Amino acid sequence: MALEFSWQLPLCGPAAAPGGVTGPGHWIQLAQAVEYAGLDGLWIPGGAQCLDSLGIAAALCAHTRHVRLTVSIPPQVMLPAALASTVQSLQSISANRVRLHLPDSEQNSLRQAFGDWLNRDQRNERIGEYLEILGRLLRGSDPGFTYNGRYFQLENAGFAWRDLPAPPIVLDDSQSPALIASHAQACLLRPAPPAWLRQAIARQRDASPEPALAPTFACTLGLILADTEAQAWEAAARQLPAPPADGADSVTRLQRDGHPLRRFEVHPNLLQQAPDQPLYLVGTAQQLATRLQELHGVGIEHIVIQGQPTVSEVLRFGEQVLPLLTRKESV
Amino acid sequence: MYKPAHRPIEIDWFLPTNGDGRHLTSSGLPKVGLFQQGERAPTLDYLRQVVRAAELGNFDGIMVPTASGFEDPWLITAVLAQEVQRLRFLLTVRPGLELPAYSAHRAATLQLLSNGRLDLHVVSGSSRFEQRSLGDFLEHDERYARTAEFLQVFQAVWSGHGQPHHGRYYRSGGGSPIAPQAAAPAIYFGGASNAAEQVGAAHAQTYLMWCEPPQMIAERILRMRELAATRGRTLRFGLRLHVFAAPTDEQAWAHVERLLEEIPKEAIEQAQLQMAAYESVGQSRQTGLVKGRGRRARELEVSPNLWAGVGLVRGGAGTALVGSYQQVADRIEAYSQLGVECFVLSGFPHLEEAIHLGAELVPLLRRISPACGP
Repeated sequence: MALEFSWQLPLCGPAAAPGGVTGPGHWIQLAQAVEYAGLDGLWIPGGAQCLDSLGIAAALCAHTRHVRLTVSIPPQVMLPAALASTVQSLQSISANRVRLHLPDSEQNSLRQAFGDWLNRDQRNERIGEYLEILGRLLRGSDPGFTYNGRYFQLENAGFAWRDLPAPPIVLDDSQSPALIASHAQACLLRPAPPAWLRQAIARQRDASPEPALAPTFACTLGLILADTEAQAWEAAARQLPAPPADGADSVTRLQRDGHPLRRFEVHPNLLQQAPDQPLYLVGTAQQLATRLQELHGVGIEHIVIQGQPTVSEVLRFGEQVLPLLTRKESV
Repeated sequence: MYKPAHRPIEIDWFLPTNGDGRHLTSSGLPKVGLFQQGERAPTLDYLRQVVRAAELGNFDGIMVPTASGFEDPWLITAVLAQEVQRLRFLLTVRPGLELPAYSAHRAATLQLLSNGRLDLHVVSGSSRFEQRSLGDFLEHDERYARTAEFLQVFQAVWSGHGQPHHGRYYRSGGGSPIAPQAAAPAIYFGGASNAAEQVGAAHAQTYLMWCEPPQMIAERILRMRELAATRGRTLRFGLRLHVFAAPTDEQAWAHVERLLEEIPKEAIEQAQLQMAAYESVGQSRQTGLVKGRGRRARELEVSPNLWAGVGLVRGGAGTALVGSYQQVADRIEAYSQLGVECFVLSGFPHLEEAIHLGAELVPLLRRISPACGP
């Protein structure tokens, strides 16, 4: 399967607010550039500091034709049956282009903003119930079922099911492997060097009852692309916040000469300033293509590109990097 | 503060997001499924035409309903708001299915997408059957208590008064508003029970009613004004109704007679049974209008030009004004003299009728000079 690319829209934080650097016109323009440049999809983030991902996804249906819409929505904001019915509607409006990412509620900002005060075990139990109900309602396999859980109760659930394909579910790797194995078609891995990703993928595959049912894997990357390697690292230094003072931390680093930022290079062309911080791919088009191939070889099938919400970066990626990948695949 | 005098009436249309057609059973609920041929699915390609027709027909806004099986009102509004520039969207929201802080996020996002054309129509529920299928087990009166709290939290989140909320139904943290420059959507409110009236008087800006004979509407307006006054508030009033208008009143009545004749008796009985299960005071007031009456069109005329025949087979708004364009405009003017400032109209099918009534009726309604003060 070819490596799939989604571009993340800038819908969170102060930049998304009106008067900030973006607005509806900008999101539409970016979405159209992503489709035009030959990428596969849009990643539409959701959360306490974000605009409503479902509404934005619907709005973009009017302006795009075939890009996949991966919609991230914190599951605690609505009842599972309400989400199922909304997602069915989005499938209908988008002509079945939806993929659903349910972020782990472990982030405090999410819980506080939307008002969730369960403890970790309770949340784990609740998300299990939630995913079971959601999956049954989206598949429509048993219309009119009754459910008596600890957190959710329903009667005659799914009586208004519409005959539309169930969208794939994406869960974060911080959820339990068993939960992911039972409910997710894809797993979003935290940003980490390829060696770690390889191990995480193996762990998750072991949790699946049979290999064919194992989820696919996605990870998130920032891209810093320039004509020469030196220019790319200079661009990285300009774009990224100042690195922390050198202290003891657990990131294994390469010993590199050249730009001072390269002391944070955790793998060739991969920059990460601290664990769980964003991972950046830095280099020339050829270097980026080589590294993306390597990630694909490790088992990543979907790359979410974040942090570069400009049309020029989208087109540059589409025109300079994607052709290199296509050529390699056809060899 | 509202100043009812010297303000033009608001004329809205209705978006049939669970299907449309020429028959009394083509839109809304219950779906009896009598007329397969010519029934229209609520596809984007159809609904965008309805919205455009409403804008070109000089309607002020369009009501977007919600129920199981309908297109999601938030999503369909996000798409269709981009189709037109002026039309406002009166989006129906049911508290209880999602958290008020999240509804505030959704509303803020729609205000950005629509350039500030969103209003909210808050309804507290449907039948027990439908509520429970969605995972909501609260009973009728408690749903209204929850609606009151929902609106409090919604407004607190919207304005960014960051006090953590610890209520009976909701908890939320503080936080800053997601779209600080966006205008807050106006709150329209539906509900005819005692519990609903209390919550509406305390939280609504516009109190919506399914259309009833003028005397009944006058009583409700009086009662709601008093309830609101005890809280130091004033309310605006709105009516939801259908319209069958034609060049002459004979043509209009002949049309509804035909619509009635094509419906088998069993379909009426089946629909009435379903509506009885809605546990809605407003619904029983609507079905009460047809009790003991014959089944000929004019026998269902419950006050001059007000026809209760739609309610034989369709839940929700079950009354229609039937008559010549001028008669319908005169009746609407009479309601406006009682203090009604907003009219949410439907006609079947909603596309052709938005064009038809936009051309023939709306210009007459635009001449109505509103009532002076409560």
